[in-house]
Amino acid sequence: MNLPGTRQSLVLGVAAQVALAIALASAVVFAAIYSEVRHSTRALAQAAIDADLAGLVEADAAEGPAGLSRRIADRLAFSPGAGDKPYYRLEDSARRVLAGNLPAWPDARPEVSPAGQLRLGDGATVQYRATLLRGGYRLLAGRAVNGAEAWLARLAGLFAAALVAMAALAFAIGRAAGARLNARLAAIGVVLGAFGREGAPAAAPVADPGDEIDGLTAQINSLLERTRHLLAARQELSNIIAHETRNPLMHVSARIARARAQGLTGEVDQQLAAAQDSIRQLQRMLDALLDIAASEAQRGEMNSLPELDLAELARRLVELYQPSAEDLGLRLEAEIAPQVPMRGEPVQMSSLIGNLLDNAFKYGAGGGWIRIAVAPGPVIVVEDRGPGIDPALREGIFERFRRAARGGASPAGHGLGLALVRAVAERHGLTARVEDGPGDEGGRGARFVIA
Amino acid sequence: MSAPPRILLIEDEAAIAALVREALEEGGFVVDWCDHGEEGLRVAAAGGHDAIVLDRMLPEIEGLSIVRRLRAAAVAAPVLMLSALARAEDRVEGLDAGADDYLGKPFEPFELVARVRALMRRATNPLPGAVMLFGELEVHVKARRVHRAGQHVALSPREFDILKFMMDHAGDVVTREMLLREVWGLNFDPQTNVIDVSMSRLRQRLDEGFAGPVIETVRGAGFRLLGGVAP
Repeated sequence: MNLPGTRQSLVLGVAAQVALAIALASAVVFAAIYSEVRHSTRALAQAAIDADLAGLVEADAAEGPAGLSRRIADRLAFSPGAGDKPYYRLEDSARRVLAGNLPAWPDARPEVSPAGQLRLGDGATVQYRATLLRGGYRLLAGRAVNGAEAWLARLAGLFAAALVAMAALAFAIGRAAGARLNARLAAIGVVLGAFGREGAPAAAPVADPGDEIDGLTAQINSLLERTRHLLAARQELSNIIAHETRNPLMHVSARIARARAQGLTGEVDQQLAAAQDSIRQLQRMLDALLDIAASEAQRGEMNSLPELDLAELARRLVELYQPSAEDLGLRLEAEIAPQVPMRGEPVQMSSLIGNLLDNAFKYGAGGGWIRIAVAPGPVIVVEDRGPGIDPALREGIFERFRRAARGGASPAGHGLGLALVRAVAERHGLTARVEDGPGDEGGRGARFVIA
Repeated sequence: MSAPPRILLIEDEAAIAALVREALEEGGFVVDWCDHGEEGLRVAAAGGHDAIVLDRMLPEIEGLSIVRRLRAAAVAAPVLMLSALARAEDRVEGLDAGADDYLGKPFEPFELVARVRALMRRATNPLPGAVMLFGELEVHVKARRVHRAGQHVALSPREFDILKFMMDHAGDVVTREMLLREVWGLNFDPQTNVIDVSMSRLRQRLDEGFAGPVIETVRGAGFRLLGGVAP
């Protein structure tokens, strides 16, 4: 089980690396041991051959070539098993064979008493030493080493098998340990991924006494817990603010309504009606602030968002705004893709597009033209041919209560529209920016891009 | 004369409860008041009420869970949820939980009464006839034709939807929020008067050639069809 969003397994890679490292280290150790064993085995055999040859040389000194030949014949007669069968060859100065069983003289110069190995036609491997005797005679003594060589080959095979087994075992253990590690990481990932969703597990499992991962998990759990508390506290505060302002306003509003129901006329009634409007405006501002706060608190938290078709939403909004555009003498062009699926909160996304259109209607109406484009991504573009926005002021207009930053008359509104646009965009993992629009002589125009 | 409709009011704050109660009683309803969520649930489950007015923020039990439990217990009476949580997202939450309507505080007494009446009418007469009549207006639902005092009035599809919705609530105030939700399928709080613009177009079409209006704007609340017949 891999963590969501991972393409390759860290654990599998580590297991393979450990297996490779163990294989390499074992190979070096095995090679050193094997080479030492082979060297000692051959040195032992050579020592026996050298001793044998020394005995024969002494015999030659004491008894001459005839005696030597006899000795050789004797030794061959006592030859033990084929495993370390002795081989000899005695030649005179004319290269005639006087004694011995070696079929041919190897490519070795007896003047330097060389040692070596040769292979015979019957498959025997013979280790030997040759030497030059008095009178130009030359002598070679050797012994078959097939037994020792076969043993060395078996040893090498054993080492190779052990090497493969160790590497495989290391890989298997690494993988199994890795799979357990992965499962534990995935358990944490599941809790983190589900955070904020309805019915999500509150904490990842922690063993007691725990290891490093349990320690990390415990810290993650406490961070999640704190985040949950902060979110709950924020929600509670915003509910309290709503409750504690709206209930008193409710009384004020009801009293005003009752007073007006008495049949007031003229100045008094107008003042009371204006007071009611002020109350409604205050509420709208409060709601917008709470909307912004809610979006900011959920920034980037996409898990709990439902699937929605932004194109459908945008079409409905354009239809809603079209009559207002006509009343203002504006051409409202819409370029909306057939479908723009995204994860989004419909109320918030409606507010985002609505606020962009409101904004374009308020400030861009002078240009007589507004265009909205919605494309997969999602990318939302709303542009106008109004006076546009001074580059130095562009960042500021997305901040709260910055409506004064835009030149010209300041239309009615709570000055929170674009702050809400940015908060909603960021809540959905998008950014909000403004650039020069397709302006003409009327002004530079403004283009708002949410992407 | 039949017995006056009974409303169950579940609201913990006495001052607000008094306001609501007064408004409803002036509107001709009999009001039973519970200041406690659990008690309210019990009374509601016992039946006998034509509608329930429920505050969302009760101290010991959330209004949302009361609605869910009422629905689970198959209580038929429609529920109007009152709340200081009045943002569009809050309203959607309340309606999703099973409330039939949602009214943000502060509200004006007549709006509350209008909403409760609309709820009860919806509950008792959910299917409108093929022809709806109100005052001088005659709306043929299937053919999507409208007549005022016998004269055909040409409307755009959207204008027809608005009028049809207002006929469903004839005589009562429909708010901008209700229109936005039911006619345009949108839930949010527009910052400009987009609804009023559409409404004034509908009005122009309906009033052309007539002396008096058929739609009245109720300041701060919404719009209402006028039932009077021109002399």
